[in-house]
Amino acid sequence: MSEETKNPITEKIESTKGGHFYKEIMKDFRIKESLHGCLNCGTCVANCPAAAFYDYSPREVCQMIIEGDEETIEEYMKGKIWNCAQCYSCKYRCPKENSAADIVMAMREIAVREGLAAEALAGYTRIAKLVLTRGNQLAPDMLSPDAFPDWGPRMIELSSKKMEMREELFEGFPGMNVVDRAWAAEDYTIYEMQKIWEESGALEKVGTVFPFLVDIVQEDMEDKAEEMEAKIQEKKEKLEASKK
Amino acid sequence: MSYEINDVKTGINHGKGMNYHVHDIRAEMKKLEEEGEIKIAHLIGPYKEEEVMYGIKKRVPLDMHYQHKSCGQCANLPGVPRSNFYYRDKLGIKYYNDMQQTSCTAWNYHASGLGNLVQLASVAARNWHRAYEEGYNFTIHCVTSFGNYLEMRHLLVGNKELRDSVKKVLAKLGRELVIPEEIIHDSEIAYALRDKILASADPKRLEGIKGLRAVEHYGCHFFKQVSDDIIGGKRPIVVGGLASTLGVQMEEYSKWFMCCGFGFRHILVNREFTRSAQNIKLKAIKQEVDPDMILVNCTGCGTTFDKTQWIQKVVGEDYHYPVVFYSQLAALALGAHPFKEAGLNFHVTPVEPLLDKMGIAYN
Repeated sequence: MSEETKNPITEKIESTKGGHFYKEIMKDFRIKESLHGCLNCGTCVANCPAAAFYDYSPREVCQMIIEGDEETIEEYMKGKIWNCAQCYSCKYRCPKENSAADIVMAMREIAVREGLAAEALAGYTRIAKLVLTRGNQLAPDMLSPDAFPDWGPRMIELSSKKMEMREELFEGFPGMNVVDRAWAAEDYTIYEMQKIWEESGALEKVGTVFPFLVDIVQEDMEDKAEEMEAKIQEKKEKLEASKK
Repeated sequence: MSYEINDVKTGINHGKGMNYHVHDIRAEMKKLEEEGEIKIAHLIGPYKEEEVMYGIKKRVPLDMHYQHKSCGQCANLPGVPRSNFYYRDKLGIKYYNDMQQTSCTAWNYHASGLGNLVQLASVAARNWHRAYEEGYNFTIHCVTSFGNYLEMRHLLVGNKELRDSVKKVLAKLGRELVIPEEIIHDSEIAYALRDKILASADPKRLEGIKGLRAVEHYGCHFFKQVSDDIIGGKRPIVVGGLASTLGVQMEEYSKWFMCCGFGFRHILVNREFTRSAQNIKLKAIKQEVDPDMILVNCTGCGTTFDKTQWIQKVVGEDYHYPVVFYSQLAALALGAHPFKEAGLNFHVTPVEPLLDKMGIAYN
């Protein structure tokens, strides 16, 4: 690393003794880009919607990483990090170009990996399942009025008529008029997505919160593997040929 | 050439030895392309240059649009993708609505921490590769996807370790790393096409739009996550720019910057936060402007503004501001049926009073 690209703030922190969570956080390469010292000016807090309603502060997040105090980090990892709205207002306004939102994102990843996120992700099963089995993240069927009573009486009307309304709207647009997913992604596409999750190590991580989902995805992949791998092989050969 | 600006340096100094240079990421990409590290999906067909931060020019493709869809829009506000198709049909723009694309999975990532950077970047690169192999320019409907793809491009260009990991995953799919020359949100395209939309608009519809008063709200991931490659720079202009071209009177309000309260996870499991943030935004909008509509470009914000007005009755407020996406406004100007072609009947906050005011029949 050249003298010019060294970050004196994170260098200093790295040389101090830190606990397990702290060390895991510092392994994420985004931290170097997200922390350039902190003036404690509070500009981030003044702009933070989560700080307006929760016991959460982006200033505290930056100070916490600079201090490296394991107890405070653990407290954040177990609860407070889930209050952040990920709006990046802190990053936009910070005079030091810090990004507490990115630090929080690194911490959320670690919280999941370390098995600290079960409570925070309760109620998240349906989204996770859709991502891993359908190739997209939301479906009209999920927006049932009983799940969203605060969205008002018109939701009930929309929910009962959604099939015919969508049919009218998407006439002539194949793949768009579906209600169990956002659009009808092809089986091969879903398989590619699942393979990305598996190859990147992300699927294994899902197992720390939703172990049954890993079983579902692996069974789904096994069922399709022969046909899909043959297609991938064709694609590989085509790519190789194009390089020659 | 857009690369001429690259050598401009700022005086920003974050401490000993930390000099930050303002540079155009396109130049970094060009360098990596020359070294054989990445491929660039160069723009296909005509384009229009628009300014981003520091006067850097972003090239907006005007034809051959790969439609990278939004799962939130398709499921919840389907009138938005339909309007995106509609204005392209009317203007004779060729587009491709691919069923071999996946969601960007960034909503999931920011909400839950499930996934990791290699997964997120590989999903991005797989979708980019789909547009490349089909011969289209990659364009994006969703603001969450847009912010995510800007970030993934930044991380992939800046970090060899991540790049190598993603290349390995892509190789197992028979794909390669091809980064689009421009990461473009659909609202930036509609803005670049504003004069063409105006010229092709139905005069009767324009008469109805003229003088409507509106406020705009931009998704945080449109301009705060990665701020330096957005048309207009740090204060976005695309939605208001398009709307005012069509005759809408755009109004300012003090809370324009504030997050809508979507929060990725909050809209699902902590909606008391969402409702409280909305209360602050809506109160300012009502007291300072009391507009005919709220114009948006973001899936999450459109959902939040539309779905969270009714419940404000519990704190004694009565809000009824129709929420309209930039492309729905463009589609209406071009003559779209408000329900059958612009899908405004999928919105929970009633749009009928607005349509009455515009003189547009809906039954």
